[in-house]
Amino acid sequence: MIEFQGLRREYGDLVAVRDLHVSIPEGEVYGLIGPNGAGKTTLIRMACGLLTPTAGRVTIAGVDVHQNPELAQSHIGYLSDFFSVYDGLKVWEYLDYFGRAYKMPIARLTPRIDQVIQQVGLEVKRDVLARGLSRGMKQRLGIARAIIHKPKVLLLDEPASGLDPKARADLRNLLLSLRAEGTTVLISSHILPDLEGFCTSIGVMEKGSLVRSGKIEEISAQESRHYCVVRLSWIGQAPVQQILSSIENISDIAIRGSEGLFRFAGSDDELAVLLPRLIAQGIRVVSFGEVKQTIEELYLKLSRNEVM
Amino acid sequence: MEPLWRNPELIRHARAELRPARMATAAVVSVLLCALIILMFYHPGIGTTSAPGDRDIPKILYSLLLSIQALVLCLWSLSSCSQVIAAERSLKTFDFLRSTRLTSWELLVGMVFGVPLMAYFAVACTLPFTFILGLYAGFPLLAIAVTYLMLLLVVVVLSLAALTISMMTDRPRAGEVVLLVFLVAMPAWAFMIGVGGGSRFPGLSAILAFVGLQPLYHVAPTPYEPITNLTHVPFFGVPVPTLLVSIVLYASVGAWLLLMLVRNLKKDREDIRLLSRWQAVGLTAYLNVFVFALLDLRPSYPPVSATDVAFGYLGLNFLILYTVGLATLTPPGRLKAWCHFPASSTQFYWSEDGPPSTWMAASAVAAFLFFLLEAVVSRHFIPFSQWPVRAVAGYLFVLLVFAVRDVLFLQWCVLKGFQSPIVKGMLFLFLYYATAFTIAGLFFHPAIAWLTPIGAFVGAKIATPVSIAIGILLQIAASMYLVFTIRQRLSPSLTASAPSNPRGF
Repeated sequence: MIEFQGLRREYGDLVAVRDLHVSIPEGEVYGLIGPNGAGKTTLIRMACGLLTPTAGRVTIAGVDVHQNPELAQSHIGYLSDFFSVYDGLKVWEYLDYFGRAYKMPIARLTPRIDQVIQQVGLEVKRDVLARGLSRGMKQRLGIARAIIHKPKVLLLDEPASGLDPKARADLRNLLLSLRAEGTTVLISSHILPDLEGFCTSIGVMEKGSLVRSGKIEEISAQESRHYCVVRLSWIGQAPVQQILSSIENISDIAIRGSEGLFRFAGSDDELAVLLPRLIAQGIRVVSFGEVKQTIEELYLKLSRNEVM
Repeated sequence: MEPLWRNPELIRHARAELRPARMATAAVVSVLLCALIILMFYHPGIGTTSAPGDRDIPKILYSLLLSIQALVLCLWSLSSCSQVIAAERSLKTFDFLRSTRLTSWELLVGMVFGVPLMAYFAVACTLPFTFILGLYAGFPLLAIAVTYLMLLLVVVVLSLAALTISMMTDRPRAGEVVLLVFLVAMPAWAFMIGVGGGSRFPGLSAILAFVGLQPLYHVAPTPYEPITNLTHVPFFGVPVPTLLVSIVLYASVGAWLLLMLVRNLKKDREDIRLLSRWQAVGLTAYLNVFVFALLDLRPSYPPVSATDVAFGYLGLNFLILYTVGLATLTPPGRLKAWCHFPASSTQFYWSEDGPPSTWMAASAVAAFLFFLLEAVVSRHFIPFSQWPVRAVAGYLFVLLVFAVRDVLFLQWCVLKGFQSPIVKGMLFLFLYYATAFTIAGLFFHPAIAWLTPIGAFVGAKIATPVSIAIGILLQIAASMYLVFTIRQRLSPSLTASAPSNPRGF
């Protein structure tokens, strides 16, 4: 659905995006993560057709964004981090304007405006001037604008920046519902918990290059091929630290009260016999399980911590 | 294409600007102002000439109200349009507009008529007054209608100029002052040239649209003879109504501005290039043809020589070459693409993405061809043998060499990544020329021809052919060095980076 082929963008001596090749399939929610200045915004702006690449091409739904921008933009909904809305327009007028700008037929536009207003929870503000909206509400209006024309692809550049926790949760729910509708989403963020449980794939971007890209489970599995992190809780006074230390393949033990985390570098078969072994050594185990890696943990593993 | 009233951009401005309360206020204020002005003139206590029924009062009132309307429309359009794009950029709303399916043309039409919509509305509220006053004063309806159409044309062209400035700057108010000075100073200057005694450019008076409108009102001769004499001005040597010249002038300038805006409006500011290379050559041709069209070579006092015309032509084309160079400066990203071509390739010289120098040369050739054409066409007034064709070719080459050097320097400044590179580059050039003139004036006279293009305009006593030739060689060497530096700056990063091809999809 979204394809970057040899995409490159330079600003003078600075290479903001470096010969990037990525293909994001339909229905995927792709989280673009990386530090500030990694080139995420430049990449998204090129994907929207707002910025001309120095080299390479972007296709959205099979349409070259820079060869046929009008057609490509009919498939794209775009939202940037900090933005203003037209203060002099009412909420419905703002959406009506963008619906017309996306060349939606007027007969379809009016019901769509009401539908979208309901979707983003701005029903009570429908006839209010945009200048009267709070930051979070403006962000919702921004999302409504981005989806007014039912785009196949949503390009969101740090959409949660500056939002309070409640507004972030609302945004997340809204994006989850869009994901359920099958919209392909490319979302950039450096606030990684925002992407947790929402993205199906991630790309780690640093210094204009993609360090890693793929489905979260696959990356996670690949990164955990040699070890996994195990959480253990118990009752009683057993010398857990001592017992764990004596077992081969266990390292990085961190114990707090009656709970501990450790790294296990053995095979799956060895992991399968670990629990009976711990019980046999006198630990009264309450819970035992592998800890799934968060996007943040994955990012920290994959990242080379390079900024431009 | 959708009709104007369904243009989304226009609808947006109409909704935001023309809320019922604002409309009512604007209507009441403008109508009240008109009524007060009219009452002032008809008040019996104001002088003996202002008694009711005086036939001149409606004429004066009509002119006064019309002038106020024109001033309000022009200044409002200029002010609002010169800020709109830069303001949208700073609010980060312009990206949303650019990412919609609105075409540059649709956006432009919506902005030109939508941004100053309140001014149009306020003027529309006062139209009944001027129409009634005009008809009451005995002016033909056609004259009044043509006047308003002409006013609309002028306002649209001003709006386009303001939008062009706004498109090119990041500061919302930057263009306003420049445009205001331009609006006042430029027409006044051109008008003075046009009406000046024995002027060779009477057609320049057409820049003030009201001059051409006077015959429609059957204005009787006044002490301001020069103005009333300009009802017809020579255009390509044939006397034509000044109004027609005004229309051609504004329509053609508007068309060029339109071209620049349509091809750039939806581009990122860094990617903006006002004209393509061929369009730049076309602009050279247009300016040469238009100035020639306005030039009056008919025998009159004082007699004009072919040498005078040639010097004027050289001065004009020096400015044109600079304009062409500035309008076609290549964004750094595009220059990278140009850098791939080997120096032996035709694309190296004629690429749309290369530095503007080759196209400036093409413009100079076009300008020279038009000069030849003008000499041939004007042989009835000045014999062809008197035209200094060879000297013009030589001096034009000198000017081209200097203009290319300066533009290449500006291109280098753009590439260097200075903030406001053009302004900084211009400042450096100003310093350079100030130093060169000081050296030439105080220490070393040949420096005038070695270091500046003035050698093309002064006599052989000050700038000998040898010193001019040295100057040309120096500038060619400087230009080659600049091209070399530009290519050097462009090449390293192309080879340094590896492609980003991550694991996964």
